[in-house]
Amino acid sequence: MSSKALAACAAIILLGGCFQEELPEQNLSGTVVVSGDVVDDIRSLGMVYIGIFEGWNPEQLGYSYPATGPRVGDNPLGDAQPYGGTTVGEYAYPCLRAIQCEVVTGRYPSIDDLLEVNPIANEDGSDMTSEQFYDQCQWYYGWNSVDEFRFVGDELDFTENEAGDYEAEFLAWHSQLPAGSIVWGFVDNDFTTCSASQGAINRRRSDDGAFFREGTNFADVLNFPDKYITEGDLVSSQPTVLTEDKKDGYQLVIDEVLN
Amino acid sequence: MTRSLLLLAASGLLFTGCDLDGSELLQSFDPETGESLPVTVVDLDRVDEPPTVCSQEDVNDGDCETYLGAVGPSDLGTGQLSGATFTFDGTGGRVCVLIDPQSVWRDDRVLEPSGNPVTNPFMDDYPFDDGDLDLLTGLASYYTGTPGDTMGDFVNDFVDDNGVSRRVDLNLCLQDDTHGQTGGTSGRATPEMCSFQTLENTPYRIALYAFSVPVDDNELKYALQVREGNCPVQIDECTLRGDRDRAPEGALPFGLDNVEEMYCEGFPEE
Repeated sequence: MSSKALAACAAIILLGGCFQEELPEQNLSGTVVVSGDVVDDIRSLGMVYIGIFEGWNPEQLGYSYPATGPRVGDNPLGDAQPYGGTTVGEYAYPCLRAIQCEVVTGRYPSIDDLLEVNPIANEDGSDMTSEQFYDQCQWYYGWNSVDEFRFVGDELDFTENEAGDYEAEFLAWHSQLPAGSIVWGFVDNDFTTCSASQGAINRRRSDDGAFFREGTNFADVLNFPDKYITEGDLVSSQPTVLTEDKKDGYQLVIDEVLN
Repeated sequence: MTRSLLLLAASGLLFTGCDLDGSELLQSFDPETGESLPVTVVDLDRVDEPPTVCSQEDVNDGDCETYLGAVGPSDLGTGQLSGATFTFDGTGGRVCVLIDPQSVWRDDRVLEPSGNPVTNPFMDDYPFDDGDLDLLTGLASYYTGTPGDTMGDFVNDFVDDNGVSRRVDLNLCLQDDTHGQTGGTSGRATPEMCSFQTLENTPYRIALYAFSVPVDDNELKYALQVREGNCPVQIDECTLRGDRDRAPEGALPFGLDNVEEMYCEGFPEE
């Protein structure tokens, strides 16, 4: 009797695992390619924003941009109303405020690389060394090995392909993916999408007596990308159009520098 | 037998635990009657002396009349909101809406660190008379509520070119939050304002939502002004007056009973 009950329970569990919820939201994956022609140093590439939008309208602003909804009130532009989106890299607090909002994950293989791109001056005017930076991070985060640094390491987002372009995988979670919608993206090279007054509270506030936020991206970047796109940022000059029932293997090329 | 008794006792304890009543924590709970107060939705277009749109000339002369109203508690859990609506015709220019919910919110306690209420007349507050009112505006045709019956908003549905059902917020009252992001509202007892461009002779609606009401009487007083033109650069608790109750005896220092007057005018000269 008990073995039958066990079998019944197992069957119920198995059937439960097969339940198809029929949700309209699906994951979208693919590759983002940043043209080598528009990148001087891949280590200094800003956060890459990728959105899934209703349509494309390159005329409205004079450069490649998603179609937008109506302009409401004093908003200078309508909401692009993304179905969903994702990023490649994210802002990480780099242990000290001198370069807050300037460090993106997945860009730096070593502390030396980070300091080469983002030199930090000590109080006496000398350049901060890797050892000093390591000590600062050890104090701030409690990290005891460079392997623990979330913004430094061998697992970089971008790899250079044979054509000299830079490729990274992307995955946009739980988005509606109607056929005809577009994938469009941009790179914020000057960190205007980072809000220094948001994000986690500094975790050493009791030691240094200061309160600040570690910084994170604004919440409406994909709704109003134009608020944040500035000179020197990169955009995809052509969107990628989604097709019916295809959720993987898309490629988005970011190849235009805005002047 | 012992096991049965234990099970019975455990069941009793469990059922007792299920008998918790959290209604006293709700803003609609009336401690005097022990019952929940209903939501109130006021149609200001139908009151005896409704608000008016203050002309630019009166704005310049400082002669705008302030409308003083009151709303009851909201039931945030069920989404039933108390509030008020006011409809006016667009002027063809910009219109500014200002509200000030009861009463004053003291966030200046560090202005003068002596701890002396004489040298710092703003030290004392009566915190049980504060509430929070939030402001939305938009074209009346986009309003989803029913004035005098149910509060709504300006979020509308549409089907986009890809056949996907979407929502768009057509609220014209765009206020910045502390991070400079559009979509903020002020907090407890703090005034709000916004201005927006209007179409001439086109109905616009102002919707005021009770987010929280004072705990002392479950009723939120507020002051409202609708003006032609842009809003002032800055407003504070003293821009609109009258959004207060008489404080209970002894709640304020020196026998004062008007916390707003105390805040805006300071203590009387001795």
